[in-house]
Amino acid sequence: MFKNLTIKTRLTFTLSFLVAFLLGIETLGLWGMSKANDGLKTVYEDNVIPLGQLDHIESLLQQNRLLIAAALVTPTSEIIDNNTAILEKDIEEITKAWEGYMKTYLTPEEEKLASTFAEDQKKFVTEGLRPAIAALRTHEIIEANKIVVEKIRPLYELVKKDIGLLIDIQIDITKQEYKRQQDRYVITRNIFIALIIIALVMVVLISVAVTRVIFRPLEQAVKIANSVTTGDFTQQIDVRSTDEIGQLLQALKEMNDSLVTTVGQLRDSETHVRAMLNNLIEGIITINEYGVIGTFNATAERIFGYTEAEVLNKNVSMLMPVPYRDAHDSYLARYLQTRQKNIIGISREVVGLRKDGTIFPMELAVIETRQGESHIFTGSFRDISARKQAEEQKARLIYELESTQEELKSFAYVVSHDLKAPLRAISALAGWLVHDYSDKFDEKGKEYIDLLIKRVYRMDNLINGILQYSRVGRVKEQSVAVNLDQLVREVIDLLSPPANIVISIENTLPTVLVEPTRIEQVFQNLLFNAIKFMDKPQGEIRIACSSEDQHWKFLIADNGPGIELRHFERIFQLFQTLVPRDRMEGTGVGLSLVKKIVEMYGGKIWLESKVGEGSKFFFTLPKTVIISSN
Amino acid sequence: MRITNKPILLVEDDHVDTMTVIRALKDIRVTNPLVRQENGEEALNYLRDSNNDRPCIILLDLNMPIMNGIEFLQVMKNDDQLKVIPVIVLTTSEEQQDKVKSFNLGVAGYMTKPVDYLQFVEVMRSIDTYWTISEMP
Repeated sequence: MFKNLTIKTRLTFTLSFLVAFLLGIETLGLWGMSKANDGLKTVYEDNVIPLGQLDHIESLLQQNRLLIAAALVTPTSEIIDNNTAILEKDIEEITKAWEGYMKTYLTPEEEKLASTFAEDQKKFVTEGLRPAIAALRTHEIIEANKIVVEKIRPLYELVKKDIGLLIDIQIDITKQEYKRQQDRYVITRNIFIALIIIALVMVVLISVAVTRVIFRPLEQAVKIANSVTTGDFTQQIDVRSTDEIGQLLQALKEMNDSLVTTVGQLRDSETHVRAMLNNLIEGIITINEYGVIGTFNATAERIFGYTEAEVLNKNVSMLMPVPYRDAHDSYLARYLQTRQKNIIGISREVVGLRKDGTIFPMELAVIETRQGESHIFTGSFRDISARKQAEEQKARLIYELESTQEELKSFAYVVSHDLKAPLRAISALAGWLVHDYSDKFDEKGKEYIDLLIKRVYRMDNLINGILQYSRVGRVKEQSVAVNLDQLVREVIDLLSPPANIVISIENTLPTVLVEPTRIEQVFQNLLFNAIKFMDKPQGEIRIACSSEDQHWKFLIADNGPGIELRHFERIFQLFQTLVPRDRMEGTGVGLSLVKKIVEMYGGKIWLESKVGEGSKFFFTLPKTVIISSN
Repeated sequence: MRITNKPILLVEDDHVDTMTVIRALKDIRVTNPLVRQENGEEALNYLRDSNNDRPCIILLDLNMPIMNGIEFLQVMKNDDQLKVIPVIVLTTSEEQQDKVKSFNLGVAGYMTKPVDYLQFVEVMRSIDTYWTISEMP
């Protein structure tokens, strides 16, 4: 129960107890002193005064006898008168003194002796002194002398003996009383000494207790606090009491626990950061303002070929090739002075030096953080050798592609000119042969020449097809807002379909942002095919457009021969025709050209068809190229 | 041609094409003499020779050896003496850039040679008609 009280209460309690204890001792001392005083008073009153009275009585008795004797020796009337008067007075005084003595405390023995003395005294006075005084007064000296010899002398001896005994007893009693008082004083003194010793012992005990209760736990708390300061969080802190020290220890324990938790979290966090650092794809190096390396993660190890231990606390310039190596220190110093940023906060390409001496390109970004007065620079980097190679390869590929493109362009040019020139010559010469030498040719010869010229035209068409096809995407026209409704009508006019074919536009076509020539080629080829292959006496061609999410969907439907499903892919391939060219002239370029143009604009083209019933060609154009729609 | 006594200069490397032009001119009864030079350089030499008659019109092929048509135009149109002579490009090339370059160099016309001879004759007839009506310097 005592343990559960606070130190304040305990101290108050202990001090109160001490004060009470000392007050008790004090009271006891005072009491002892008053007792001693009482003792002294008793000794004085009960022993010394009676003794004095007895002495007085004794001396008076002696004086009585001497007065009588003196009066007898010189029995002049003057002396007799004088002495008898004194005697009378002395007797009175003795009586008075005796009365006084009798009033004091007397032991039974004393009382017995006193009564003897009183009787003897009375006899001495009545039988001795009074008759003597009477005889003297009457000057009967002989009589008086006789009384003295017969009565006064023996009686005096008796009385003297009695008073002597009383005095002896009184002295004895006084002695005893004194001794008793002496003993009492000794006892009192001893009690005091004992109490002082007890008080000292108590002080010692209280000191020990205070030490135990306050200072030792305080020292322990200080020790714990010091240990915590030096980073030892593992100690066991026992809280044994609920007092202030207990509270302090509890607070320390909670602080320690909280620190343990915090430190644990920090360690977890550090472990996490470290794990992260070591698992980053990028290399991480930190340096201080003197360029000294503080962190070197696993990727950095892998990239540079050094282990962390090999570079820690070394200057980062060891990772740089000459001449950057020599410039780095001065660069750092200059940055810290002028704050002029060269790399901090931005990412740039630099070169690094591996342990094996090879130099490699890397992309480096540096950020600066401050830890108190010092600067920490964190560089994150990646080895971009592969990327560089890829970039070079890409550049090479692009160059190759561009030269291929260039070759293609010149190929188209060669085709358009160099192939066409001889073709034209053949055509002209064949024509002149027919014209100039018609009489020299028989029917067979004329047929051959006719076939020759037809093949020339076919070849001319093929060449033109190649040229058209190669121009799509290569030769750029300005994209403008094209009103398709108007354009399609113009295309139909240009194609001038035969009377048995009706071309209808079902709804108003939108305005789109395209190259006019290209979109014209799309409609022209699709409509041209529909007209060209029409096998029904009443041809119907429908053009429609619908708006879908992100694009327009166009439809060109005919009631022609239709296309078998297995040819759906083939018809869009260059130079592929389904009908022999001798039966129906065609280059096989038209649909490939349409597909190329539609896809160039990000659209799709497909068809639905039933053999004998007709075909539906669909294509889409994204709306993003559209300016407005009617 | 409005002026019948001045020659027509044909700058053309292809023999059959030359024959085609001669035949077409004959078919449409153009009587002007035809002078043929095989490339731009020869044409320039001809033009700069004061002994030669200055042609009323030049028919120019573009694709030629030694000095092609565009190069010829670049020299000729910087020559104050020669730049007034109208030049009609007569070529196989339908390349846009050839057309643009030619017109930038101040040609009077750009015709592509059709494969069909009869169409070619029609082209030549158009040129003749135009330059019969048009005033010449």
